[in-house]
Amino acid sequence: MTKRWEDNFEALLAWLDPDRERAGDKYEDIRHSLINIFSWQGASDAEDLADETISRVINKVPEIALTYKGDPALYFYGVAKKMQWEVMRREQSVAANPSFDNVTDTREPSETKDFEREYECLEQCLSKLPASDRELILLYYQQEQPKIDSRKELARKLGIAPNNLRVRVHRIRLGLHACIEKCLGSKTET
Amino acid sequence: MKELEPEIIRSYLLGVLDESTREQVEQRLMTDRDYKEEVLISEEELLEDYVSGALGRHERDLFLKNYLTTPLQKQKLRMALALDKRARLNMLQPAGIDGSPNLLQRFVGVLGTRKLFLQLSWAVLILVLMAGTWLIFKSWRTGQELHAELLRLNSPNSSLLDAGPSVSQLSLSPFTLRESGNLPTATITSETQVVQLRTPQPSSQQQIYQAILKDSNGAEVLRVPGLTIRNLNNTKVLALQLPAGVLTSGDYTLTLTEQNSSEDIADYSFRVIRQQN
Repeated sequence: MTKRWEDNFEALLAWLDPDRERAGDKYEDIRHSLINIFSWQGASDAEDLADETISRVINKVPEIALTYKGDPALYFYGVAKKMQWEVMRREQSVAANPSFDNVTDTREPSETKDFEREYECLEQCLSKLPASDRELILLYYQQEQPKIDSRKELARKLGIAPNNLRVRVHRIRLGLHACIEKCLGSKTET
Repeated sequence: MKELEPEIIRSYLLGVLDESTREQVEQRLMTDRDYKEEVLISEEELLEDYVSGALGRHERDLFLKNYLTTPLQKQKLRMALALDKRARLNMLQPAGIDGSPNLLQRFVGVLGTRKLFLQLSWAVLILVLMAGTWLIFKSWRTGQELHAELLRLNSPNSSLLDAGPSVSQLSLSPFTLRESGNLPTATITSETQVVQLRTPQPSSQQQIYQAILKDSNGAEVLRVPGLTIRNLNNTKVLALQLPAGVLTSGDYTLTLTEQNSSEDIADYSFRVIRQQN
């Protein structure tokens, strides 16, 4: 890692927020959004594309930080869009098919060898959750049809609004997802 | 764009938004954390609807063609499947999150009283409860083990067992009448561990089905959701694998429904004969 790159990275963080901790959060949030956007657009190497986008922005920071107006996240988005087009054009020239229109036959997507490993990790990660969170997420997903009614009833019992229940379960699920990824990583290493 | 319109978010995830609206969604995703959270929640709900078979045919086709194309999305689907499987397993366990009062604390409070009559009453009650709890636990554990075994045998990635001494295999046809006396028959010996029932692919276009097994009196024996079509030598079949222990000698009816519907798609009759050794 060169000194110039490190300086630019520091400049990037300062551009995102004067407070270094908040800047770090914002950086992670932008990266996470980019990965999801690339992935939702059908890019199988979403993480690489997000990192390439960030690298390009880092290289540009000294030029733009002082003059750019608006939320820096939108600048990242603009660079990402440009990259998307580049990837599409590159793949068009190779296969005469736009990369984001490729169709994969995934009619039986659940039949994958990774499922059992993930299930084991899910069990492990559930056991690490606080009991109340574990109970809540399992209860939320085991609701009978129509789920919308039974979840409203669950929210009523908990004394919170149905939308707050959705958000609360989502946040528990985010933690579970991170734990499962870590667990899968350690299983791959061993 | 209107506030957090759920149909716009779902269309975005299914890849059917026009370029301009898609850009608006993505720009907002980049700058508004609440909106991003809403999109991620909508994504979880889309996955959940797919797993439970609640998506309509058009949406399911879009889901497979446009959404489920990358490793990240497939990983999210596996997590949704795992969570669904785990939550169904949990259905047999008492929930207790409804804020009801803590009975144990009440016991402790009353036992601390100086009134002898109350103490004796509670002692008797505790003994009765302990006996009852043991019986319930025994029955619950058996039920839980059965449920876990059914999940293991019938999850989408479980393998279809080959017929042999431990597996009794039976192909069912929808046109067999019980009155004809020629019911397909599964013979269970002391070696049989699993009874595998195979039916032709139902005419419905659903991918996920539910099987309901009833005895000759019409009483429900068990219900297995989440069954998927399997491809066997270019023939599509639906297979239900049952631990042999759940079947006694007698006639049964197997009813198939779509995952979230009570409407029957097909009924099959068969007979079980247990051989005593």
